[in-house]
Amino acid sequence: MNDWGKQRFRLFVVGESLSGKRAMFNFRQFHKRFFDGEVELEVVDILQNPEQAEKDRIIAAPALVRVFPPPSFKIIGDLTDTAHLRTFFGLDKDGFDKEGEEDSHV
Amino acid sequence: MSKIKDPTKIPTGIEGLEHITMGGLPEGRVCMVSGSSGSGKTILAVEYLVRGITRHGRRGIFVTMEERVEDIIQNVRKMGWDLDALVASGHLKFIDAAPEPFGIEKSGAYDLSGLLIQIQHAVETTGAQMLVMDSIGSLFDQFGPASTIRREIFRITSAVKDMGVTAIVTAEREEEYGPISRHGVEEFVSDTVIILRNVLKDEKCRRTIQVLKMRGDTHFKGEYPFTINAQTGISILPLSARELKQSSSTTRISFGSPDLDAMAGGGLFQDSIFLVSGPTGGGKTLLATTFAAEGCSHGERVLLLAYEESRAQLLRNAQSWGMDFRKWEEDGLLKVICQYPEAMGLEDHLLMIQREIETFRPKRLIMDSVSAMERVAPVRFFREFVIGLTSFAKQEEVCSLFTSTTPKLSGGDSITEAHISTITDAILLLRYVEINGIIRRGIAVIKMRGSQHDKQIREFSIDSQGLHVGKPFTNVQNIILGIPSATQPSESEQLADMFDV
Repeated sequence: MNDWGKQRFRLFVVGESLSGKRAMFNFRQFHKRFFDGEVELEVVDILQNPEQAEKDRIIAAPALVRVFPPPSFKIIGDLTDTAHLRTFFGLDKDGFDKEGEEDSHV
Repeated sequence: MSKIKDPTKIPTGIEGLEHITMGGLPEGRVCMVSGSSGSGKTILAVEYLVRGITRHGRRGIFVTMEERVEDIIQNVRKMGWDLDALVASGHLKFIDAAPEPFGIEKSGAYDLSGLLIQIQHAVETTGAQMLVMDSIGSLFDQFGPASTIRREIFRITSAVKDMGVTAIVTAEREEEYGPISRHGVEEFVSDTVIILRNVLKDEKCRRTIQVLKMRGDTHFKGEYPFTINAQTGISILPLSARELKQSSSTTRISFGSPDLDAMAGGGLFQDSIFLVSGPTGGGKTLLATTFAAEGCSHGERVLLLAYEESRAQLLRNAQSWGMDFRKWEEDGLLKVICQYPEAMGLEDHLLMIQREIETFRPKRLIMDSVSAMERVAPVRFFREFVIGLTSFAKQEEVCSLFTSTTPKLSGGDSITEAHISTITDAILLLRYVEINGIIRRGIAVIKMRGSQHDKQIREFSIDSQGLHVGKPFTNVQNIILGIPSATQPSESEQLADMFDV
């Protein structure tokens, strides 16, 4: 067992933008494949909620923020680079934790 | 093209900037301020907001892309700018786009919509007319690739213009005289480009500001020196931009010596600048002291700037000629400022003098000596200093006496004279004259604008009472050129000279 189940993310998108849609799609694919639905995702439209964007200091969009657990981090882009995501989350290509390498990217 | 109309300019409140931009920044446009590290970009940007808020009742947004918000607030507090209070009163809003301490991961394509929407939201909610983005190069470091960032900056600046906000965008440059900005953003970002420089020359740092372009409008060209003062912020000294439009005064004031007044056709004009040139020991300081004493004894305020003597020396010497400087100082009539020319840069000297004139409001100004300033800076800066000082003194109708020490005992031209003589209204020469093996002092008025004057070279003597002007020299030539030579005088004149009849 791991802590992934408790993870909460916030995804900032701009209205109905295609990049936002791609980010949402890619993230869902990613977590379905690797975390099996144990991730909570809140999608924030920056146009509708600029206050939240200010709080989370969102400059680039789309942007994914890990809300919980700390430390918080931010990934910007439409998340098409899944290889980079896997490395960042410390997973190998099959989705298993890589021992002892989790911290190397923080 | 159809959208472009004649831009109105809005004043920035930054001292001197209105002058060199001929009215301020074009309203609703983007102005890029480019400069190397430490050239004062952030200070200028913050001052634009602070002055706009406090003097013109505007509201502003500060997008910080480099420094943390707390650091900016802290850094300008010593200038007396309380940004916290402006934020609290709703006049100022920060948008924090500074780099995140742990960096940001990137996966796939993105744009800077977050920043754009935050800016738009901030403008809508605060009703801001001013925006600052400091500094834009940081976006290239935080995000990439450069082509995306350029496109996004263009999108943001276009949106800012559409909102009618007058913006300052800062950008860094690597060389003082090289490409305008590091990432070449200026072409599409801005209608106005201002360059700040901090150039080290002859061991002195000199800050300058230049309006490089102002699309569709006129401005003064060239570099203007400026200073950043811990209390007052930026002061641009628009020296050569000054106009010669001083009104002229017909009021005559006295040198403090009836003989000299007579030589000058009845005294000096109240708004005149006069230069006393002479070798060391020639009597310049005495003349200056007499000039000061004359003012004080008539209840006029006198500002005396001494760069060669200490205050104690000055007071003692004046005392020895029976002039009580100490008492006049206590009465608030006299202000003596003694400083080494090296104490600060020429721009700072000029600024200090201008401030003193504005606050003390003297009728007479004495600078002993201007030539001491020559050694502090290159000739070009010195010339600007002299022009700035004289035009300010004239504008304020301060009758000014400048002394200049000639490089040689026999006289000769100094840099001071070369740069100052055309600006001054009157020139007095003091020269040593050797006649038959005896050193004497000569005095001559060689220029007196707007008035007749004595064309003769007279003998000038100093005793415990002060200065005295005597008879004209006869039978001596080339005194002014520094190589007096005697023509053959008659025997009786020679005898009379020898026995000083």
